[in-house]
Amino acid sequence: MEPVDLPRTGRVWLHTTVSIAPPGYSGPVPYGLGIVELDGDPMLRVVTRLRGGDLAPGTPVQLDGDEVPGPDGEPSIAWVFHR
Amino acid sequence: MSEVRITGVGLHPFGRFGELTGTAMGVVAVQAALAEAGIGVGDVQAAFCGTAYGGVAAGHRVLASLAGTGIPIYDVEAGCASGGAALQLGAASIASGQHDRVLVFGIEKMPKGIIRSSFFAPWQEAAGLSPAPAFFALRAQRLLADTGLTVDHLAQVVVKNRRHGVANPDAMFQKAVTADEVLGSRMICPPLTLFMLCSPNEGAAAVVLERADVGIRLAGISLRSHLPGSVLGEDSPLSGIDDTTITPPTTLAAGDAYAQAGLGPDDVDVVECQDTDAARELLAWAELGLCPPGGQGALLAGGDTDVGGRIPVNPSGGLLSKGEPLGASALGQVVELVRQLRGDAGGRQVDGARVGLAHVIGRGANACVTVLVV
Repeated sequence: MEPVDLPRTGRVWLHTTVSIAPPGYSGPVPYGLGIVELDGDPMLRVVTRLRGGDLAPGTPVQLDGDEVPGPDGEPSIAWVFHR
Repeated sequence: MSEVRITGVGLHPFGRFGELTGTAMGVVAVQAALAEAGIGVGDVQAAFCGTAYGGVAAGHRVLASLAGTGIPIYDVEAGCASGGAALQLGAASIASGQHDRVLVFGIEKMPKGIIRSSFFAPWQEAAGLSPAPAFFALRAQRLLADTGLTVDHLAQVVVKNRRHGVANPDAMFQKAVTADEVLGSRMICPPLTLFMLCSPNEGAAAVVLERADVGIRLAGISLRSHLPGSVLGEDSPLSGIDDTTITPPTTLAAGDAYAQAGLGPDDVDVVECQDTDAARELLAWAELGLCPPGGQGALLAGGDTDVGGRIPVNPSGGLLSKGEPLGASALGQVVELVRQLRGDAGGRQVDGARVGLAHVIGRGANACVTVLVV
């Protein structure tokens, strides 16, 4: 296996909101979660945090980072897409 | 598999039971199944225990409590399909001639709230990428978008199953709810409200399988997982989100089980299916061949899946009424169907039921379909 660079833009495929912190997660709630179709060929779908509203299917989004506590409690960066 | 029959079933109710251990619940279910079969624990040649959270040698702890060790005891994990996987292995051990009589049981004791699963890496949990209800919600959104079904249909599934659950003394919730109550309950992950999601809980179920001429015939059983090609299938129980061009595991398992039984969906009189959430049940109807994709609304409108309807689904109340103790839930369905086929299901009896189908699906997209015939 070797790392590959993935597109940093895409479109919302599905979007929901998580209102209860799941086990192992100590970041803020509520937060957006969904699936983004990355631009490019072949198209890839990624499960991702989503930030902000107005995220209907097809909405163009771009990559950013959310700071959340990591498994060890230290700050870490989770990927997030937003408009 | 025509010679494999179920000669005894037992259940510990599903719910929450304080300090009572999963082992103790398993003992209750196993003793009941053995008593129905008219045998002792020393009369089975092997045991298969489904559990996802029971820990190392969970089945051994149950049988040790009954002085039933010395035989091979297999602990089987396949997510929500764990009990189905155990049943399939038990049936195969008889069909192959290895054994003549085996015990199959499932036990679980789970905390309230969102299920924690070692399926996800710690970094995925910390990033918030692991909550099962969110994945169920995404799948529900896809179902609604693809079929024209609405949240009102989701609510109708809950109303149906909770109404059925009123007549099930072994269910956690034995109280009917209205569609307004379902839609007005706490929003967990849009479009799914609290009442549209089943509760992880506690319980146990057991069956005795024998090569015999009497009893309920285990006419078909198959465990399948998702086909390659779905980028989502590896991450969560996403079967149904991304399967428009890929045959879902439920359909694969159902095809196997129908073929083994020499039957088809039109022959089925009563169904117990995975209603982890209301949308999951509607997906299952189409995947099992009970209706074409998008035909769920017509079944609901006609009351077809109610007890008293053409093809009752989840007369036990389903997981939405019973809760879901992972390792026990599949065998709980089988216990229900055996009682239905015997005519012993009391106030939730499906009149004249002769063919029953049980269906579970969960983590790893493990799906198990079982066909029982009286």
